[in-house]
Amino acid sequence: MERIDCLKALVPHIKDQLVIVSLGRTAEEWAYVCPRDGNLFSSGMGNHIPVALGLAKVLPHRQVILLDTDGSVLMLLSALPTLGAFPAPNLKVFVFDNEAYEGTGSHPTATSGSADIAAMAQGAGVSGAKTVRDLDSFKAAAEAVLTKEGLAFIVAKVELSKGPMPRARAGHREALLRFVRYVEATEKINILHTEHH
Amino acid sequence: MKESVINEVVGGLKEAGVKFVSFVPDSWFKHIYFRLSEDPDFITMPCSNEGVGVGLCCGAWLGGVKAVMLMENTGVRMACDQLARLGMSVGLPAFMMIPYRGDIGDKLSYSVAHGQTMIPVLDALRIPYLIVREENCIRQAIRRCLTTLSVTNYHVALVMGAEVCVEDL
Repeated sequence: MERIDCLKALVPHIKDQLVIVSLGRTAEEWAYVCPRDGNLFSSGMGNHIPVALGLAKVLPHRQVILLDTDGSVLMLLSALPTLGAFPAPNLKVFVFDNEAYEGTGSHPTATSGSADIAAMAQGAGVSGAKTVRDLDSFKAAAEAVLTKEGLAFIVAKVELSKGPMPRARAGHREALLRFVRYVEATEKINILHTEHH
Repeated sequence: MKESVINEVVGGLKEAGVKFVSFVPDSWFKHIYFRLSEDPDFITMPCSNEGVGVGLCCGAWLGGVKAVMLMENTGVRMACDQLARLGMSVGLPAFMMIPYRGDIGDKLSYSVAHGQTMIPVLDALRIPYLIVREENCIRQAIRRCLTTLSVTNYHVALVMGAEVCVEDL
């Protein structure tokens, strides 16, 4: 299963969701298949589950989708029990597990051996966590979780990417500003500071 | 911690519009956690690592909700990488309230290192901080910190000195 095919399968489901995207090639591929201001690209290795969970908790009426990676989840595993203890029903977590640090030369991650992210999530209290290994299963799982309430945690076992990297995306600061303005406009709230003399 | 100090903290957070609280427990702040957890005006999410809590608060900020991370000053060391990535690289801010463990008069020897490293680490991360040593300054300090967070889109820390945290110094 190739990650970009999974990402393409998610695109028809995207309406006004807030999409938190991990880093590296996962971010590049999502920017390529689904460019929009409602995407927030890398909050830093390990930070994606906490940031997505905090966002989902304060906007419970809004679906938040997290596109994470094995390397990032492994870096801050203590996010999992917090996710298990506070299962935001509007948060849908997809972890694309290629068993490698692809962006830095594809050195293997712990999931290439005995580590199992879905099992660790289940052990941390994320009861519905599961692993899918083929595109049809991914599509079915995505359809199921995106169309109903409840915390979702789907680990998709994917191959290393093939071919050249998709086009470059905006830098962190520009992407953040676009995302925040998108949240402000769609939620009709102010987040950024306004000057008053 | 005196009841009046707890009231100033909880009241100050409410006055400043804080609605989201995360924390990793510390004994000097323990009564604050209980009060906030029981208060329906706050969404409280305890966690097991300060870096996670900082990320939660940054997520809340993205949703337009003011947040605070309560943590022992060891948490600044624990959360170094998350604070640097979220604040410096991305531009997501968190407000932290921190008891000054290891402050002059702290009776526990293990706290000494916490106190010795806190300010150098905050400085290394370019995080501005206020140290509050009088109860009647707490509300204004909370307000000031959140104003600076909003103006700079960067982390701010409010450090609570031993004078306001400990009754029997």
